[in-house]
Amino acid sequence: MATKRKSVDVLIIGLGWTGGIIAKELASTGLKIVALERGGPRDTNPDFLDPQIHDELRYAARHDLMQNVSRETLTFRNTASQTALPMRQLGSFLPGQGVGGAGVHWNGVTWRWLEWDHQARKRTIDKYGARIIPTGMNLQDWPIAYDELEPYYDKFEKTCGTSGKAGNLMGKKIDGGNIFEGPRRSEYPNPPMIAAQNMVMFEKSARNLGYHPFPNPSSNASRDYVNPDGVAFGQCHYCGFCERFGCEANAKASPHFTVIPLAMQNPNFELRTHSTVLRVNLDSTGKKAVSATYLDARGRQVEQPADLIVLSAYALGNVHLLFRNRTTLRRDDWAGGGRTQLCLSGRWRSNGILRQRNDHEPIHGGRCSRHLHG
Amino acid sequence: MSENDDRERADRRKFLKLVGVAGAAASTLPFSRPGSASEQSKAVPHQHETRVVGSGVTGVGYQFFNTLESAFVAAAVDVLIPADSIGPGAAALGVAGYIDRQMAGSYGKGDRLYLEGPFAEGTPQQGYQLRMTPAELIRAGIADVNNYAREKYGNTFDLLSAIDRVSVMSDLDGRKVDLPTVPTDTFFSLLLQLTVEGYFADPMYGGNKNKASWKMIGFPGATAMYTDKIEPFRNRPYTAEPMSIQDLV
Repeated sequence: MATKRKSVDVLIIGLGWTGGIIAKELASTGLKIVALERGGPRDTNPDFLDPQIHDELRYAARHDLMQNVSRETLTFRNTASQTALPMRQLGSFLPGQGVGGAGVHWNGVTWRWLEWDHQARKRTIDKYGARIIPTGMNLQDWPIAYDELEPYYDKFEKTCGTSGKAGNLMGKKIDGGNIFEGPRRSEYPNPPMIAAQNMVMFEKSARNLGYHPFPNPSSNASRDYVNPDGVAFGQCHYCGFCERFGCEANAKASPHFTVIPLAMQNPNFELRTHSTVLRVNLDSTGKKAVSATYLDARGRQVEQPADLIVLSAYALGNVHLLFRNRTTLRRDDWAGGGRTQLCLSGRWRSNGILRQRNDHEPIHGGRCSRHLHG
Repeated sequence: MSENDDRERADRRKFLKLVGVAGAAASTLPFSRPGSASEQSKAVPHQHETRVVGSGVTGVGYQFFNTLESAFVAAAVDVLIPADSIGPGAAALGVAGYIDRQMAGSYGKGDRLYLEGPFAEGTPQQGYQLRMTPAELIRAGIADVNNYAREKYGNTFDLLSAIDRVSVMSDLDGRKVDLPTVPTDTFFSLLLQLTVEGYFADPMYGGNKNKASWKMIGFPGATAMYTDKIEPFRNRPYTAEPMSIQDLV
């Protein structure tokens, strides 16, 4: 029998980039916020210090900053005719665990979507005709166009101190940047990273072939930087221990030293670590989320009610939680016929993963008024 | 780098060429291949000479492997990464001891592996699906390979001639033998992965003695401040005395 806690305004499930941003953005509202994180607390000091963090066996090979699937994992299959089997060890997917989530161990590559990506269906049809789309392929337009999201791409890059070179400044194409990108209102907040020998050679060769090379946008600060929230970044050390590792210099933008401390300053914000959410609970109509049930560190079940429940547990975790509640998802929506899929889980990569379940399970995509999936 | 150096490097141990430097690709257990045969392995009496086998480096006892297993591992890593003109081999770097500690510790016991059922052979894309921890897999695989060595070459692996030892490892690498208990591919890939880890990992884990592999490839180790070096060292070799984590603490 779960212990029921007093209701709060906002419940955030998973405290990585998405949960961290939401917690920080809501900090000034006075709303009562609880964040649940399945892993433990982590911070640059003492968890990501040089030289201990430069341990390839521990962090790259043994995935010490990532989800330990021995306790909980997902099942996968590629086609409906296969039997889904457990992901018994980490492989392609590297979900985070602990405060900061995968934002701690990511590599900082920070792309915007192209305008095309936002409208993959409409633009495909405009350019190639509808018949090019295979039967049953669930190609959709996202409900948010590039222009609507541009101010927030800009804000995120400035929050992260992204190092790069603009290729399209408000319609003006700039050689040396990505000339195919959507128009941006401002240059990157930091200049591109220093080019190593391989990049110099690649750029020269690509130009000679008539291409338009540009430096990869990288949220690893190319110089000392203070972001608009007043958070100080160190300059990147070019240490080579980036993806899969925490950054000792606070050069790689990560939630644990940017948005999360700002959320933590809010007296109305409470963080509960070692709290693994089992499911989101709906009311008797089956249409409104009212609480989440989680296991605390000792394994006790706790029910936390809230007016607004945010799923920010990585694309995989969010979809998993949605599946746990079978009445929230209906398959025919997913097949592409019905309403627009409003579930913008994490990095918007949930498409391929939803096919993992048995086709007899109902899946419903539409009414997300009470679910914000980050 | 001279042309002679290039030729020597091209002749380098073929097993090492299969993996990236510092084991970047060898971070996971390999998946089982579908269609492996499964026969009962025959019970064979132990008829080999009794002797004490160390780890290849003085002072290291074995916590996990028995004497036959440790002899196997010491011999196997020496085949996979032998000493040659380029640098020292796995034996001198304490790789057998490294593997023992990994099998005795939490990784070997499957602390990061989902080991609940249901168990089924999946597609290659579904990855590792065995009901075995890494330690169990290595132990069972060693027993299988020793049986194979006895049947085909006349003795347990550790007592074979150098040439026959290379043949056995080549047979495994080329998937020319179907081991009865464990999938050949999964076992051999794990053994090779552990060998490469022990050779290149930070010395605190028991292998890579004296940072010898880092010296061999010119890797500076855990030292990591190159901001002011990226530009000046374009197309120029950078050499630095390798530093381990403990050197820098």
